[in-house]
Parts: sequence; structure tokens; C-alpha cells
Amino acid sequence: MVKRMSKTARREAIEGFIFIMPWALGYLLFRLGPLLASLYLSVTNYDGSSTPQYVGLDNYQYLFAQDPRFVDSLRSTFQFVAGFLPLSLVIGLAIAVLMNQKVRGIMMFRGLYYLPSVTTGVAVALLWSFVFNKQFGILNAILDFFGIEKVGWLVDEDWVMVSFVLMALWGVGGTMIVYLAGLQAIPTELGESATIDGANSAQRFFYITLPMLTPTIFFNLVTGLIGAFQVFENAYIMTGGGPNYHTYFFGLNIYFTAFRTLQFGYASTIAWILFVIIASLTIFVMTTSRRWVYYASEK
Amino acid sequence: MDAQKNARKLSRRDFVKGAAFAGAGLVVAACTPPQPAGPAAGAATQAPTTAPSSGGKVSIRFVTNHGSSDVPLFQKVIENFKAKAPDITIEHLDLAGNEFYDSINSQGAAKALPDVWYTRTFDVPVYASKGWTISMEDLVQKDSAEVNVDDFWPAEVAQMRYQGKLYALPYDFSNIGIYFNKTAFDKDNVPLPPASWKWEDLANLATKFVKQDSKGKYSAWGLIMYTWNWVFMGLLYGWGGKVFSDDLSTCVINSKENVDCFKWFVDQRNKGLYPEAGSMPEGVDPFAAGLAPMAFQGSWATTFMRDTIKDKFEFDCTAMPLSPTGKSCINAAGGAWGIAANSKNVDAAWTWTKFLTSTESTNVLISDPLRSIPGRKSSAKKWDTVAAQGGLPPKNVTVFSKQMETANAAPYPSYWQAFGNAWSNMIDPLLNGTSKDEPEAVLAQFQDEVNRQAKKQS
Repeated sequence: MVKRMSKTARREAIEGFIFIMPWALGYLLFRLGPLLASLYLSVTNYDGSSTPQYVGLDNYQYLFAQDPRFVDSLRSTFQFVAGFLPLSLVIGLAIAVLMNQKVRGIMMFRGLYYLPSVTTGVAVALLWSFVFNKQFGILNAILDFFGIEKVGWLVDEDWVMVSFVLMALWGVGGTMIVYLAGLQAIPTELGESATIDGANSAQRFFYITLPMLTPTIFFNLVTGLIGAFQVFENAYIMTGGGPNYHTYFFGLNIYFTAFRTLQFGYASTIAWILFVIIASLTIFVMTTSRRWVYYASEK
Repeated sequence: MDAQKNARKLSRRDFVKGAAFAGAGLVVAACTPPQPAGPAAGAATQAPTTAPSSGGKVSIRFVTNHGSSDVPLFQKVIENFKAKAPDITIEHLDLAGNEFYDSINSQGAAKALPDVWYTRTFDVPVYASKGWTISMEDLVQKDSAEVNVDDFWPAEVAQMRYQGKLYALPYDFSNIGIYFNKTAFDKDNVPLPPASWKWEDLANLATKFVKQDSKGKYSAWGLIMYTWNWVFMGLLYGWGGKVFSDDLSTCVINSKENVDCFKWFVDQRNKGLYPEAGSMPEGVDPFAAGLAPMAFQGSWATTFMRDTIKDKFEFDCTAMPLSPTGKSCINAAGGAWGIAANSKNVDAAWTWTKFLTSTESTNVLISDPLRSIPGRKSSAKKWDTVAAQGGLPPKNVTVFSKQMETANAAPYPSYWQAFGNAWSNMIDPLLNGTSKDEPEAVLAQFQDEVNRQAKKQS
């Protein structure tokens, strides 16, 4: 027998639905609709002028078999993710540990380290253009001081990805803040007990802090993975995908295909492949999380 | 009261059901494919962008891509137009930078383009092939005396045509000349560049300024050069090459003439004629900063160069050098105005476009404030006069309008954006010294890539 809801519970439920309605409507209007539309467009030849014609899996076939730019996007995006993500997780954690110290002026340091992650866009891209300039850039001036030959950071095929990873790491403050919140949620008595038992700082970090921090690492890994695959802005502003398509990330490829060459159907195909890659890797990470993420509340 | 009672009786199930129906409705609405509208069907099936009021007054949406400094000029032209056509209201919007293309392309796909908007001559075939703009052929014939196509530059007319029909009326037309630092030439006792010369002559003069350190690295160059596609195409034409087939359907850049041209410039770069990528500081004009004695500069830059250089040094300009065989290396590109196929006020849009491209309006927009070369020859005379006023440098500024007479009439193809994307990724590295491949290999790869894209888009 189904238990009838009380008047209060029913009222609460209705209020809950009303509160969630703006988000739900927003999702249906601005996310789900376009999402399903793009799935449909990915199997059409829609070019922005005539009616979309259904072409089956032709776009997917072309992408995998005949489009060298897809290979460029795949290579450059994976290179970026492989370079940026591990470093952002490690450096973000290292800075967070430093920012978790009880020293005078720590709030100012936290602000300073977080600041770059909120100052993004064209201004930052221009700033990095100055830093990476081959002849006049500060980075090459430092290398030159040590007698190392100048590097074409943004113009050399072999170095351009290193430049993009360095630029992305500048915004590691966002990851750092999440780590900091995780570190501050670890009960201090655990560390104190370990100290009494004779554990040194390295042992406390690797046997207490790190395991207790795994949910935060997991969160940063998943969000970082999704974000890194969508890299776009700096390449759009600084290299246009070059030199020779070495920074032709998926995001850039989708943008050029849709909004420059006006192949909206084919751009949707590329977007869905990117979605599948991100979703597969996210699911993989989530599946493995059972083995390495420790939730204190589950024990 | 009854309504309030009913509202209170709403069960959670009913509420969820209603919400689900509403949501499904929204999803269906969002997923409904756009209405069929090919190039021929365009105007008949599209929603009006503006509706005539009961009093016969109409509004025209007009979009430019010129920046805030030009907005007052357009406002002045709009005011002048209002005095002559009080029933037509012009709603002007200037979209800066690349936001313009994102906006226009999205509106094109949505069949909601502004009635009249800015179309660069290399965008004309892109929009025309999509059926986004109307052919102006009949309209021009109807008002031939008023429009006076003979007053436009022939090369620009060729670029505003798509499949033989005129799809735009001109705003401006731009080409490139050589600016030179007279002070630097005098200081090094190097003769000034002549009024007419060949690329070898330029290279010989430039060599006098090239400096190389003991490790073979260059620290001073002779020329700052643009490797922009539409500019460099002029050099290819000068060397006797072609870039597109006659019907524009394919790219034919991989030819002996073009390979020779690229080899010449790559060889000259290796000798220090112009700098490799990354050799110049960011955020400064290298010529204005005195870092090179000569530079490519556009017809649009007269006031910019005056304001930037001021009295730092004396400067002037001269013609783009001719090719080794004495052919013109000038290619030009310009701005123009197109009328949307989805416009429900084509007559009003046409009236506005005619006024906008009249000599009077062109003078206000271009010649008086000394922007690039006007799209009308009649206005170019005014431009020459204004440019020469006050004896300000460059004294030889009229060379830009003279060069228009010999500009290559080179129409752009409908896959121009794909061409540009491939150019910046493959040709630019070849010219600026970051490519590891030889010109033959790069041109072959480039041609394949452009033709692949052209085929995909056809």
C-alpha cells in the first residue's frame, strides 16, 4: 500500500519543483535541445543555407578515414592533456600545501596565487605573447643569460605545445583553491596522533594527508580532464591552430568548421566525437576511483 | 477564488506531468530543423527582419565591422539619409573584431541576417553561394545611372561578382605599398627607393641595412613584410602564377611559377631581407619604431602612420615593386555592402545601399577621414586631395590610388575561409622561417588541403 504524503511534505515537494524549475527550463531550452539538435545535425550535411540532408554515417566515416585535420586535433589535444593535467594536479597540490601553512600574510599569498586563474582571456594571451617572444621575450632572455639558444616558443612546431602547457599552468590557482578546501577539511587530530606515534612530516603527508585528500584529487582530476580537452582560447588568439596545425585542438577545429567554413553538420560530428572521448575517459576515471579514492564516511 | 482552489488542488503528479509536457514541447521546438530555404527560395520562406508600420515607414537593420572610431561617420551618413528618406529608419549596429563573423554566420544560419551588412570582397562569394545575399544585378540595371558601375574599380567589381552577377556595392578597396624611412636611407647614404622598381632592386637596397652577428644571426633587416594571403597572392600573380582555376572551383597554387616565387622570398629571408617569425617585439609597429628601413603598409594606414611616427623620422612611400618580368604584384581586397536574402524590405535596403555607396557618402566615410582607398573612383580624387593637404608625409601617398588601376582582378572563391585557415597553418610558416619543409612540398600539401576542403564544402 502506497503511503500518502502529508500535506506539509507535498507542499515541500511542490516548492522544490518550483525552485528547480528555472534550472530545468534553462537546461531543456539551452542545453538539452541544442544537444539533441547537434546529434541530429551530426548525421546531416547542414551548411547553414539549405535544409539539413540526412547523410547517415558519412560524416563519421569521412572524419576517421579522410580528414587529416582530425588526426591533428586528436594528437594536439591529447598532447596538451597529457602535459597539462598531471602537472596541474601535482603543482596545484604543492601550492595548496604551501598555502595551508600558518604564516603571516598567508591570505595575501592565497589571493596572489589564485588571481591568475580569474584573469583569463585576450589580455592574458597578449601578456604571454610578450613572454614567449623569440627575440625580445623574457623567457628567452633568461635562457640567453645561461647561454642556452633562444627558442621559438609559439612559432616552432617542437616547442609550441610546451608553451601552451606553461600558459595553462598559470591558471592552476583554481585547482589549488579546491585542494586547499580539501586540506582544511582533514581533521587535525589525525596528524597530531601520528606525530605522537612518531611519524615524520613526509609520513604524515603520504599516509594521512594524501589518502584523506583523494576525493579532492578525484574531483580535480575529473573536472581538469573535462576542461583540458576543451582547450580553445589561447590557440584561437595566439596561433590560430598553427604552426602547421600543431595546436589545432578539437575546440578550434569545431569552431573553424562551424563558424568559418560553415559546415555546421560536420562540426557537430567532430563535437560528438570529442564528447565521446571525454565521456569515455571520465567514466574510466570514475570506474577506477573505487580502487584509490578514500571516503572516510564509507568506512 | 475558484482558480485559487484549483491551484491548491494541483497534485505533484499533475505538476510533474505538466512540467514534462512543457519540457518535451520545448525540446521538440528546439530540435525542429530550419525551414527549407535554398538560394532560390530564400526570400520567399524567411521571416521578415523588420515589418513595415501602418504609416508605410520601415526600419532597416544595418551592421558594420569598423570599430568605434568610425561609428560617428556612419551616424552622419544615416542623418544625411534621414533627410532624404524620412520613411526609412536605419538601425545601425557596429560589431567589432571576430564577433562580427560569429554573429553574421549565426544569423545567416538562422535566416535572420540584417537587411544590409558589411561584406568584404573575399566574403562576397561565401555569402552569395549560401544564398544569404541577393543578386543586385537587376537593381543595378534599373538604377544604372545612379549606381554608375563604371565609377567602381574594375578589380573590385570582379571581386563583388559571383557566377557573373553583382552581389555587393563597394565601400573601399585596399592595396599595399612600400613605406620607407628617409632618415635611415640618408644616414647610410643609400639612394631612396624609386617610383617604379623591381623586387631585385628592393632586395639590393635592403641588403645595405642587413646586419648579422658573428654566429650568423640577423639583428637588422631590410623590410617588414606581410605574409597575408590576399597580399602575397599579388606577388604570385606577378611571378606569372595562378592560385585558383579560372572557374574558381579548385586551387592550382602548386605550379613552377609559384614555387619559384616562394623560393625567391625564402632565399631572400635567409639573406636577411625580412625577419623570421618572433624576431620583432610584440605590440609595436616595427617600421614606426625604426627597426627596419622599409615596410609593407596598406592604403588604409596614412593617418595611423602619421600619428605613430610623428616627427621620429622622415618617411615616404612608393609603389609595390614589379616582378622579375615587370608584372604588377598588386592584389587588392576591399569592403562592400550586401543585402540579405531574408530582408522583407529589399526596396528600402536598396535605397539605403545606393545612398551609402554614393560619392557623397563615400567622401564622408572614407575620403574626408582618410581611411583606405574609396570604392568609387570619383571619391578617390577627393581622397588624393585630402591626403596631400598640409604637405604631411608620405608625400607620394597618391601611389595607392594609382596602383588600383593595375591591380589584378582576382575574384575569391567560396571556400576562401578554408583557404585562409590552411594558409596561416602551412604557408605562413614557410615564409616566416618556421617550416621544416621546402616550398615544393609545402605547396603540394597546401593545394591538397585546400582542394579537399573545397570538395567537402561543395
